[in-house]
Amino acid sequence: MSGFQVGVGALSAPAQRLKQISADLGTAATGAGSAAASGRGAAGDGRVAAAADVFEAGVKAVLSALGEDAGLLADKIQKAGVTYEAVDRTAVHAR
Amino acid sequence: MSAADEFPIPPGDPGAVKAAGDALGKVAVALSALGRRIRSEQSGMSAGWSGDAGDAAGAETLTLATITGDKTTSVRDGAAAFTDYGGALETAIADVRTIRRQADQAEIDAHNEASRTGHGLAPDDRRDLYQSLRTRALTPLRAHYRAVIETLDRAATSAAGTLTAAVPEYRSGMKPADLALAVRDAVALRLPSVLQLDGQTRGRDLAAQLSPLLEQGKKIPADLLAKLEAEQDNPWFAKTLLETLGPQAPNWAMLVMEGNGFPHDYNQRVITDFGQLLALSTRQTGDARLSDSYVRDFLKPLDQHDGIGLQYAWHLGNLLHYGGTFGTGFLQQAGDKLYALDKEGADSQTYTMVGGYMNRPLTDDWGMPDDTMEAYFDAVAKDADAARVFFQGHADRLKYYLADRRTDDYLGDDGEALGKALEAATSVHDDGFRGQGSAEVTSDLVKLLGSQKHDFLVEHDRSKVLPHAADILNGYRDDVFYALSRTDYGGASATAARLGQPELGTKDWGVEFSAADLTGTLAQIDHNSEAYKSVVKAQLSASEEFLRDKLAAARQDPARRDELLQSYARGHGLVLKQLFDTHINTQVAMGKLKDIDKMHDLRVVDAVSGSLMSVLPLYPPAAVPVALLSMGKSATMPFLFEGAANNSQADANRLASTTQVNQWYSATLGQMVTTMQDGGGFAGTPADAGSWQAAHGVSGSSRFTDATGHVLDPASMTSGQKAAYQQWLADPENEAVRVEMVKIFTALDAAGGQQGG
Repeated sequence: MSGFQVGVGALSAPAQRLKQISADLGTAATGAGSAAASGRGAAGDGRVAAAADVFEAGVKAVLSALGEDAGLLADKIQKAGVTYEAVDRTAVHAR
Repeated sequence: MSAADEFPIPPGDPGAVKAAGDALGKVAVALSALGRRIRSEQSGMSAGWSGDAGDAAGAETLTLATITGDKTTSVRDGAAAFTDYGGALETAIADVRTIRRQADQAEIDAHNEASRTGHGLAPDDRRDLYQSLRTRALTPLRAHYRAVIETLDRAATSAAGTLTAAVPEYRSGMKPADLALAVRDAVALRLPSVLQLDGQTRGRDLAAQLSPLLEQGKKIPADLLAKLEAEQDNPWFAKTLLETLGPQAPNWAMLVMEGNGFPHDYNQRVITDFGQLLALSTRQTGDARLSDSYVRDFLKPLDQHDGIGLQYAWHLGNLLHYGGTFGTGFLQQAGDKLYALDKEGADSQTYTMVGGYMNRPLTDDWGMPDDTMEAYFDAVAKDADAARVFFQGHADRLKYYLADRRTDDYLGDDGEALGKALEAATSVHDDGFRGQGSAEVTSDLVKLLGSQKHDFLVEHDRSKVLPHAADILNGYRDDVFYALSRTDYGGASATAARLGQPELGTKDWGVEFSAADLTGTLAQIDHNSEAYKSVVKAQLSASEEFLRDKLAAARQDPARRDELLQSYARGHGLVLKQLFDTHINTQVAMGKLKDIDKMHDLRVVDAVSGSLMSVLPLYPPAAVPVALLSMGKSATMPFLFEGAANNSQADANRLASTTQVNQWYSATLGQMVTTMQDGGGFAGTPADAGSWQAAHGVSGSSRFTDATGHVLDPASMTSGQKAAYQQWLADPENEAVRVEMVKIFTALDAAGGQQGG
C-alpha cells in the first residue's frame, strides 16, 4: 500500500509549492542580508555597526538554510511520490 | 574654531538606517506569509500521506514552518532596532543642529555684548568679558548636547542588543564565517535535510583532504582532526566520510601508525575518531546507516584464518574500545567473524587472540584490553540485543568462553567483560522473542555452570563472572525460588526456557531450573560472598512475592487459605535451607570451614555462624523483633541449630555470631508477618494490626500502620510506634499473630524434614 489516501500525484503540487517557498526564502535571505548591510553602513555608531554585522551574518545563514531545506524537502516529497507511483500504481484513494 | 564646532553632529545616516529598518520590516512580512504557506503544505500532506515517510516529511515541514516563524520574529525585531535607532539618530542630529545654531548665535551675541558694554575697556579686559559672556551662554547648550548624546547612546546600546539577540548562536569574538557555520549547524540539528546536506558535503570535502594523507602514510594534521571531531554527531557526515575513504581506511590508518611509530596520543585520537564514526553510522537506521557492503568489506579481513586476520581483529578491538556504542547488526556480524577466527586458532593450535603477537599497543591506555574478545564483550555489554544474539542458540560459544578458552592471567580481566556481556544477553524479561532469547541463554549458562565443580570459574581465571552470574539469577528470582522450593517434590529434571511462571501466573519468558544445575551454579557464586548475599536477598524478596500471591489466592478462595499458606511456608523454608546448605557445603569444600561435624565445639559453631553472616543481607536494626521469632530455624539451618536441647547448643546461642544469625532469622519472620498484614492475611482476625492496636489501646501517633492498614517502614518508626510494632510481632499473650501464624510456622518447621532431594 502506498501510504497515500489521495493518490501519489497529489504530492507533485506540494513539492512544486515548496520549491517556490524555497526560492522565496532565498530571496528573503538576500533581502534581509542586504538591508542589514545597508543599516550597518549607515549606523555611524560602532556598536550598532558591529551588531548589524552579526545580524546580517546570522539572518542570512539561517534563512539560506531554511530555503535549502525547503528545496530538499520538495525533492524528497517528489521522489517519494515517484517511488510510490513506481511500486504501487493503484494508490489507495480516499473513501 | 567656531562655537558650533564644539558640538559635532553624530555620525550616521538616519534616513538610510530607517530605510534598512523598513526593508527588513518588509522581509519580516514576507517571512510571516512564508511560514503560513509552509504550515499549510504540512497540513495538506498530513491529511493525504500516512506512513513513516509521510510522518517524517510532515514533521520536517512543520519544523521548517516553526523555525520560519521564529526567524520572522527575529527579523521583525531587527527591523524595529534599525527603525528605532534611525529615529533616535535623526532626532539627535536635528537637536545637535539646533544646538550648533544656538551656539553660533550665542557667540555673536557675546561678541556684540562685549563690544557694547566693554567699550572703553582695555583689549584684554574686553576679551575677558567676551569669554565670560560666551561661556555663560554656551553652558546650557553643552548640558543639552550631553543629554542628546546620552539619549542617542542609550538608543545605540538598545539597538545593538536587539540585533545581537536576534542571533542566539553568536558568541563574543566570533567571526562572521564562524557565526554563519554555527547558525547553520543549529538549524541542521532540527532539520534533517540540512543535516544530511551539510554532513554529505563536509564528509566529501574532508575525505578529499584525508585520502592523500592516508595513502602516503602521513599523519593527519590536528586541524583536520578537529574538523572531523566537530562533525562527529552527524551520521551523514560519518557515513559519507567513511564510505568515501573506503572500508580499508581505518585498518590502513592503524597499519600506518604501527609502521611509522606515530605518537601514542595521536594514535588514540585517530582511533577514537574512526571508532566513533563507525559506531555512530552503524547505529543508524535508514539511509544514514553505513552501507551493508561497507560493513561486509570492512570485516572481511577477519576471515583470514591463517593468522593475518588476528591483526585486523586487534585493530577492530581498538575501534570497539574507543568507539562507544555500535549498532546491533554490526556487532552481530563482527561477533560471528571474531568467534570463527578465535575458535579456528584454538582448534588448530596455530594462533591465539589472547596476548597475540600481533597485539602491538597503539596507545598508552592501560584500559585498552589486550584481548580483542574482551573489547568485543565490553562493546556488546552496551547492547542487550547484540549480546543475546551472540550467545543465543550457541551453547558452544558459552562453553568456549567460559570453559575451554585460555585466558591471560596477567593482562586478562578475570572474565569481567564476559560477565557483563552475559548479563546484557540475559537482561530482557518479556513474553516476546527477546525474553525468550534471554531465558535460553540463562538456561544454557546454568546448565553449563551447574555441571562444573564449585571452583570451576575461579580456577579458570573467571572469578569476575560470578557477580554477573548472581545478577542473572536474580533477574529470574521468581524462577529460582520456584525451583528451590520444589526440591522435595515436583522439581524439574532438566533446565530449560519456559514461557510464563506456572505458580505466579506471570506471562514473561522464564527458566525452569533443575535443582542440580541451580545449586551447582549457586556453589560457583558462593565463591564471592557479596554475590551470594545478593542471591539470598533476591530470594527473600521473591519469597514476599510468592506470599503476596498466596494471600491474593486466599482472598479468592478463603477455604484454601491454610493450605495455600502452608504450601508457601514449606517452600520458603526449603529455599532458605537450599541456600544455606549450598553455602556451608561450598565453604567446606573450599576448606574455609572445617570439622563441620563437630558442632559440639563452640569454635566450629562460631565459624559456621560467622560464615553464614557473611552472606546474609542485613536488616535495619529497627526491623529486628525484640523478642526473637525462631520457628523453623532448625529446619532451615539444621547444621547450626539441630540438637537445640543439649548444653553446647545453649552455649552456642550465647555466642555473638550465633546471636546475630538468630536476630537475622527472626527479622525474616518479622518481615513475613508484616507481609501477611500488608497482604490482608490477618483480615477479620485478632492478629490484624488495626484490630490489635484498637484492642491494646494503641492510638494516634503510636499507631504503626498507615491509613491503608499497611505496616510503616520500621526504619522510619518513632520509638512509640516501634514499641507497639514489636509487641504486636512478639504477641506475648499468644492470642493474635502467633495464633494466626501457627500453621505457617509449623509448616516452616517441617520444611527440612520433608526435603527429599
